[in-house]
Amino acid sequence: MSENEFLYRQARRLVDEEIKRHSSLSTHDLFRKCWAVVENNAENFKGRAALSEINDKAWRVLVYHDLSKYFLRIRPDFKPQVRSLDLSFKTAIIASIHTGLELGIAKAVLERNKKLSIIHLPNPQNRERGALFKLPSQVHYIRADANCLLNARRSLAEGRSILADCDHPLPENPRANTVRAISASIFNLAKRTGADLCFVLPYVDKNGVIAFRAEMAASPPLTQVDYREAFVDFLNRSGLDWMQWKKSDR
Amino acid sequence: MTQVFSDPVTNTVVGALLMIKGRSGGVLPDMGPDSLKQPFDEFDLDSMDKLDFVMALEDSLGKVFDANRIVQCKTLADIIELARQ
Repeated sequence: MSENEFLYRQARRLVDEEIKRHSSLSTHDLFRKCWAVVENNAENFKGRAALSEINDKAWRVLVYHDLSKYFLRIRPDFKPQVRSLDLSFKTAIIASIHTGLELGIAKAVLERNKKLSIIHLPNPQNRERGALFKLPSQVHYIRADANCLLNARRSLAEGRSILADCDHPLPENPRANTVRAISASIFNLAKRTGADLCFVLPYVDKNGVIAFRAEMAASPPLTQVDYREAFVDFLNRSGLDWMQWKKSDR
Repeated sequence: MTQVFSDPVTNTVVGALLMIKGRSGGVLPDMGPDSLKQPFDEFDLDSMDKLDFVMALEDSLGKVFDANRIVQCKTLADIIELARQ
């Protein structure tokens, strides 16, 4: 067992003890207590990032995934809490990246009574996250295939916003955790349809709540804006400057 | 060698496809009557190509396609039929 794994296991035990100590609390309050343990022992929990061979700035998201999955097992009524998303748009294309927290964006958008389509791959990992976030049945899913931009355009015309992850692994090095490619597809859709475009990066705040860094992309003239470069700039300014972003033809 | 079709709608659809295939600098497919019945997937368009193909068609034909119907088209002949409606 590596030192990081040992420290992380030790730290997780502190959470288990907190759960035993406060088992009578509501699920929401118990999760908040446990997250306080995480924050108070941040140095030990940071080892979680090393276990996934990722920059230690990403530790909170990884621990959040572990803890929320665990909570879903022991408290099936567990629901991730999300902050509000302070962006004013009627319908928009929402560009994000794979963090495992994207459905938190969906939840925040739906809480503002907006209609939403999510472009996704129906794989086991996404189904698991769908179960965690318990999104309402009116969410419309668009399969990420060759027809997805046509279907997304239709959704926009019907008044639904579109949520899409724009990053994917490098074909030549799919296991790399610190280098990702950014696709042009969704930005192309924004340009071709003239739809509002916003960039959103979810993160876990110090209270264990999913919060957002968000901004609207620059307005027209659309042809003079390189949305992909603007998106990478947004990610770098949002604390992901330790990642490398490459352009892909997808 | 791609032939010129006598029907203007067929020419528009085939022309839009060749324009999209040609912009990436790849080898253009030879388009004859049999190509119209070829499965559309075999033209290997990604999501961006497909969107641009449909939007190019819409610009040429002056109409907007229903996404549900266009994605159900299996061949160029199906798209040509839809374009005529």
